[in-house]
Amino acid sequence: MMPHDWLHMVIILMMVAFLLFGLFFLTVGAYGLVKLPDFYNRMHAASKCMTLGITGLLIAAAIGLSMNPDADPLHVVTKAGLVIIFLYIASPVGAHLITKAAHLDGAAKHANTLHDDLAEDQAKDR
Amino acid sequence: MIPSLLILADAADPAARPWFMHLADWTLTLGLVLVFLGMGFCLYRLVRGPHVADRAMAVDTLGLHLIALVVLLSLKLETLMFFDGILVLSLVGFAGAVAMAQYIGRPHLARTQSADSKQENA
Repeated sequence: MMPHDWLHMVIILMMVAFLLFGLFFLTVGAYGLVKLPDFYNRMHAASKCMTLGITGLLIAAAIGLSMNPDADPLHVVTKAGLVIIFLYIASPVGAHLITKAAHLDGAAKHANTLHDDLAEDQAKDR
Repeated sequence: MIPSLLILADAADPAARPWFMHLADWTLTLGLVLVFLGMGFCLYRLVRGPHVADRAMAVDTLGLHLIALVVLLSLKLETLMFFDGILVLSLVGFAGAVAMAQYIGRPHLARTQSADSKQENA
């Protein structure tokens, strides 16, 4: 056993924990894409779970790749942080754009839908 | 000095690797399996999707799964080579989502805009 083995162990276990966190949300989101009944529910699963899942994987990569002796930890962490910040801005915007377009195009709603506020507002304006 | 992933991975004797390295390896393999499973789900939605927007969303999600795949592979292969690709993939995925939203919503945009301007003129 090396003298600083415990530190190595803690870092690897942190990496594994973030990896499992990310993979859980990624898999749940992808399963929701198949299982949920209508487009709006599926978009809900896809956008939220995917953002959180990729975040977990990127944090795990930032931890794991920083231990590589060839890598500059600042370099790796900056790149991962940049992708996370961009994803947190771009993913909701893209999901909103596609959902709005689908609503304009009249994507089918599930029979148990309670409210459609956008359609009600549009009917009121007309 | 922290012993690195790379040095431990190159150790000739597999029994000399500590248990948490094996755990990390198994987690990465499990991750690859789960990401491929998720890509299969996305492809199912891409083929089956009743609406065009379902397919657009499936392609968008497939792009995010591709990012996850690159992250897992760069952890597995211990290289930083692919890490720039993640940023490019996320940018291209967002541009694709915007383009597909334009494609789906554009024909209806003229209708709603004309209704709005009529109301303003009235």
